[in-house]
Amino acid sequence: MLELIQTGLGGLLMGLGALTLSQCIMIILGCVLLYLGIKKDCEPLLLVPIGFGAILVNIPLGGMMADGGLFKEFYNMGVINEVFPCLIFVGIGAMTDFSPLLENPKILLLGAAGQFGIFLTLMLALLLGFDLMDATAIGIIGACDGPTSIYVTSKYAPHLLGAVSVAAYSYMALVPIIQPPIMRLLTTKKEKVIRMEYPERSVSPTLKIVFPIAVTVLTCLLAPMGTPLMGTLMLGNLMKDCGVVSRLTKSAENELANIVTLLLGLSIGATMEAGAFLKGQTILILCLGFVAICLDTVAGVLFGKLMCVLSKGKVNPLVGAAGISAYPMAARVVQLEGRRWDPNNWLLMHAMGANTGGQVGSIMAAAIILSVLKGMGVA
Amino acid sequence: MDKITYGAVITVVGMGGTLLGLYLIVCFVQLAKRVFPYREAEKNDERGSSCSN
Repeated sequence: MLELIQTGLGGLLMGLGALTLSQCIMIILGCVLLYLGIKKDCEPLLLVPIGFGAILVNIPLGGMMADGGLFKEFYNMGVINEVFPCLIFVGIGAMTDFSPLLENPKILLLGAAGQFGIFLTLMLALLLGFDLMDATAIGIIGACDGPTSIYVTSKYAPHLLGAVSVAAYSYMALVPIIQPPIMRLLTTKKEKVIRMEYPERSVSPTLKIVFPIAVTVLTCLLAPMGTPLMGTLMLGNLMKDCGVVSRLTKSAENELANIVTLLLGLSIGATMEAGAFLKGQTILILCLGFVAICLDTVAGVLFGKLMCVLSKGKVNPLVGAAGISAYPMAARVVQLEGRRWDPNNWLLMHAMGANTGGQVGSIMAAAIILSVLKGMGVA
Repeated sequence: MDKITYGAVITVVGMGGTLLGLYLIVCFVQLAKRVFPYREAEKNDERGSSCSN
């Protein structure tokens, strides 16, 4: 009888006995992510489920990522087959207003420059010894776009999913801290105070409907491997602007986006098992992700300066920093930075245009990478 | 080809392709704005529909 009680008590302490130091570190890291999300308001919708997922997956004998485990099922159901990132894009598309971009379409080019960090970081990762697939996944952090990063990484380097996702979402939240010093460094006082004109005309509702259809056809023909990403983003946007499926639009931007965000966050947290995450490589990936976002900002502002010269001073180069996908945070940063130097300067709508251009640009860049790799027979 | 060459190809084609792709969209939007110009009536329609909702 006593022996039976001892065995039973032993079963209760099994988890504690199996706990390793690396699992303890990961549980603490999960708590840090929760702290950033809850107390610092850094991307809480994702960091809270990711942080809690990281804690749960590192509980010894919990079996969350074992075959048939809860997180393994989420992961197989939506991450490994890329369903979750695409569903999130339907929601993002339903929330995005492309009107500022359509008012001033040339600003879209800033969304291309804002992606150059992806490619420069990819090269940097290759030079540091990563293989091509891993370097591609690391470079894509520079898209500043969580679903795109997850989509590409789950396709080419699923073992890096935890590090890449945490880097992508953490740096997106840190955009207001990362971008301003670079913007100040690269622009002169005269450039910072340039006021940009607002066109009086508005955009035709018909154009708003035609835009997502045309962009889908155009970009998907150019880079077909990005069809799931661009297609779902533009589907969401078409639903919003066509005005006849308001029930679907509301579901996409609320219930669908919320449920998928929760499942995606938990699935990413589930990839943060101590054995897979606690490596020197992870630190390197986090550093390269930071470099990627800095390079995006540098390229965006420099391209903004070029547009300023070509337009004879009609474009404020600060707007170039909004050519990344972190929407609408990057646009807000530009607005705040512009008003810092001229309190009556309103750059927000132009920055929103560049920011939505960055969303399209990041998907375009990812689509081109996927298509080029496929074309070269590498993937 | 070694991986650095692959990387260089992806970088050049990727940066050029992204710029080209977005430039094509700019051209399309500028053309479409002429085909579907903004009319005051459409603005009124829009306001009307939003009021009825």
